[in-house]
Amino acid sequence: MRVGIMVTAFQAAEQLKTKLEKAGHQVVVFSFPSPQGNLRARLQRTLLFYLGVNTLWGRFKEMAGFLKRLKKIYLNQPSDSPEVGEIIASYRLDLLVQKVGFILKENIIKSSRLGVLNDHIGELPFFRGRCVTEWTLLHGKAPMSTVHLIDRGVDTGEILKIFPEELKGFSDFKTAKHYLFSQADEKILEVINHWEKITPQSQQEKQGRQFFAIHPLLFDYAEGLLKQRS
Amino acid sequence: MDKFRRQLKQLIAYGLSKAGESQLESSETAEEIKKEELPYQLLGGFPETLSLISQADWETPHEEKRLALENCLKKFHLSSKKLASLPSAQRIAARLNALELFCRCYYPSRDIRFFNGALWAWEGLLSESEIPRRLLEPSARSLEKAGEEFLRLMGEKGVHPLPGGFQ
Repeated sequence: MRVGIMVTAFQAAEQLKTKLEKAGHQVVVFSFPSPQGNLRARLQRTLLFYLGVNTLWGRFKEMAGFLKRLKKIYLNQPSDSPEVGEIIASYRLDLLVQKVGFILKENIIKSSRLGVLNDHIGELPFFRGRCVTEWTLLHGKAPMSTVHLIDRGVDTGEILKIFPEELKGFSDFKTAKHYLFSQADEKILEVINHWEKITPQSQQEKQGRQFFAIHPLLFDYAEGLLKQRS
Repeated sequence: MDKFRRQLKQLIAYGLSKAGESQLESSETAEEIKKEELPYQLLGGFPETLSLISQADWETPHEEKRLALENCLKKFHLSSKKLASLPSAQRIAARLNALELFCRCYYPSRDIRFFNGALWAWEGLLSESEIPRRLLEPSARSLEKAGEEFLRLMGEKGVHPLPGGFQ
């Protein structure tokens, strides 16, 4: 498959890019302006990363304009601009993987053949929105993650695969969620590698609910439930 | 719940009397109210929660969220811009109304999201409050009691917060 990974800094795509390429997929990485930063800040951040991990020779290669050949594309336009959709579409990708922190618009959602993948750390369609790990435990449900396609709604796109999460041995949500997010690449990879066997399931809106930021009082209660799982 | 509502109304009346107003009304017409201006200050003190509401691509908001917001509009006839210009006591009164609204939604539906909203509203209220704490505390206790009751029901009796339960 031809897969695009959307990030706000190239290094965020490295692990998944390597794994996808090992599995025989072609990968293009798109770096978007971070909501918190401009192009210069992104360039500096990315360069600092490469300065830190690459050899001098590797750094020269990066800085000599090899980025495009490496299929790493800087996008400086606003993410909702039609131009961005056209640029991505020009790569004729089968799938996109979203690793950016903003909500995608139609221009990107429709820019690849099959759609945009997202790893949601809650069970869809039941727990949409924010703080879903906390809300899941608060409702006495087993933690799950869902890889789904993105549509115009929030976590309402077609479900591709649901992954049970053990989530034991954690004393706080910060480390628990860090663990969940660290597993995202494996789940995305599994879905892409087995795409032919997956039947997308559409969601019924009334099956689940949209959750919001959890109040600290309820958060503490949920964290107590997390500790009890250990 | 009636007791809680009475307490809230007393607090609202207190806030209004401080402002020298008999009712929380403004001359602003419904036509002048812009939906995108609505949520933040009006529902008070939980911008992170409500920032989601204002996102432009949420063209079809969740039905309950929409109803809650419409209720707010009808109830207050007040934009957030207008609210910000009001004296503090009126802002507090508006937030108390928002809190009451959340609680009213919470009780019949047993939907924990409304309780969550009430908690955020309560926090916003406290952060700006000029009302003596001793007057607010009975309501705080009611809210906490409601929360404890909710969690107890969930945990012990298996009452499901989502009507119809999960499939």
